[in-house]
Amino acid sequence: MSRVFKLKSSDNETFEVEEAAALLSETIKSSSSTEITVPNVKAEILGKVVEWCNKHAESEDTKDQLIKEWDAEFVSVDQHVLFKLITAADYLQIKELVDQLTQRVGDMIKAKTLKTVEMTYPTFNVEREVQEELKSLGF
Amino acid sequence: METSRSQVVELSYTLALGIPENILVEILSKLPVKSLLRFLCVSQEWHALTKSSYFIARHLVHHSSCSDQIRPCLLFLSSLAGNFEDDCKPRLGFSLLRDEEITFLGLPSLPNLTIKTAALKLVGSSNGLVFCHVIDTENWTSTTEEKHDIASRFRELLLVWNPATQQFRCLPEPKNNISLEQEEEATSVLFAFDCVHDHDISEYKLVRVFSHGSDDPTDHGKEVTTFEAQVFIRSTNSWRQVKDKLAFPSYKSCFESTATTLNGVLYWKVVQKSDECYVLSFSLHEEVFSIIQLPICIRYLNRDDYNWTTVPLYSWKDSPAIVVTDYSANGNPNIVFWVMSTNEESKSNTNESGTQMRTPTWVQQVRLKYSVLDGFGMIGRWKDQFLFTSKKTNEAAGATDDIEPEDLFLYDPRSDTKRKIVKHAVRIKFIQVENYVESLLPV
Repeated sequence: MSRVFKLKSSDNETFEVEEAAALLSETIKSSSSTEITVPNVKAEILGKVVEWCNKHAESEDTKDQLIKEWDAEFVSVDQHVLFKLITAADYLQIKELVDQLTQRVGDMIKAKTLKTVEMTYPTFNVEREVQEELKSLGF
Repeated sequence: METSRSQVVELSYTLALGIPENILVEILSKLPVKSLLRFLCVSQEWHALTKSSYFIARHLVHHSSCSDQIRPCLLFLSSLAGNFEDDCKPRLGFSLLRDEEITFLGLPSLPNLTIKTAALKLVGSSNGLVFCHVIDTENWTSTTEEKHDIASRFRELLLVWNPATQQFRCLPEPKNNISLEQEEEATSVLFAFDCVHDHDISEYKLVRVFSHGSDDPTDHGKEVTTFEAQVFIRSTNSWRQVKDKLAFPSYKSCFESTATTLNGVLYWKVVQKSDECYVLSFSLHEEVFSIIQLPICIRYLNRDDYNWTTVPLYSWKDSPAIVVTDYSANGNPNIVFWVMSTNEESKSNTNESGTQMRTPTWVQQVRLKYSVLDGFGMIGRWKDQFLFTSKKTNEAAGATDDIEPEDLFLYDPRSDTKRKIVKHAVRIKFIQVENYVESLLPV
């Protein structure tokens, strides 16, 4: 009979997670208790992380095409949500999830993207614009 | 996915703001070098981060491990086709194959090398650094210093280059500690290059091996040739003489174009006056020479075998391999790979001069029918497949000096299939190949 772990969000909502899914987190793995509070992470985000863990626990083969498509959908979120997910995954030390999320961020800022922007706005010098905007923001 | 300009700015702002450093490292290490160079100006923290050896190592690990299983990333020593008549000379340089696209890169500071006036050898590539040896006769302007006659007509450069960051550096020339008379004879020069991972990811070592007549004043018949080495280490920025030397008896010549570096060991083929061949090696890490004996059936120089004198030693699953042509019972030629076993049981003993003599087991691993390769030239391996070039038919071939462009193929011996791997239509001739991974390593 596998153990059930309880994850508590910062706004006091509790999620029950099966052992296989929970142990994807290094933090939970090395914790002595089955009740873990995740600070600074709200229920909405924690719920999504739990969803990811459940999905990955039930499927053995992570190279499966369906899982890959599901993962791609999972990370196609708004930037703000993306960073909150990264914070949660980092705290829980779920390496695979951190990798997927950071890869997504990387993809968003890769050179190709800037090229697309340059092509859409041919009269702008994107790099200069970026530098100027950042300067005005205090960098 | 469309990302508008304002989103890019907002993203950079968010990243630069409150992300823990370990996450920032994770994100940035997944970016290609081209992107990272653009973002150096985002903030001082980012700039410092991308220069730190921790980040450089992390970035390298990520890019090495996610090397595509289907599409190789390779660096080729190559010549861009041109026509001497049209004043558009064929240029010597490198081409990079990535994602099935070939890009031609001229050498930094030497964009106009041509095959007629320069010799360029790709010594090696490791962790994103590329090492080349250039002998350039055309662009050299002699100084007023007195120089040896031959030396004043060319310049020799040792160039270390990171094609991704475009940094490059010419290394200082080593000094030979041998007499002038010996120096005149020192024609065989070999180089090897490897990254030395002990403490610092950016540390590398370059070795220069050369041969000269005997140090022994009683050896008038020049029976023994001595091989010596000098090493250059990045952190010391200078050359150092290596203690170990190899005294090789009855030496006739060495086949410089056969030299290969594998797992930090330089291997090259030599032949004695009796036509008996050996493989000599120099280990970059231990800094010792050794002599390796070949199996009897390939020990004697076969002058009919074109492959023997020109084809470099290949690597087969991390061991050195010699390629020979032999003939099967029905007279058909085959290409055979003899692979050296590198297990500990291989016998070794030390000869009079103290050099290690090894007699490892050599095993015939691959036999390819020569007909498979008819019209193709093998230039290297990638994973378990072979890299070939073939000449495209060039209807407009003008002057005889025009270099014919070539296609690039991968041949899988297990399935006996050939696959063309270059889609781009640039006319390039491929000469030598190395595996390449882009990195931020400083030169």
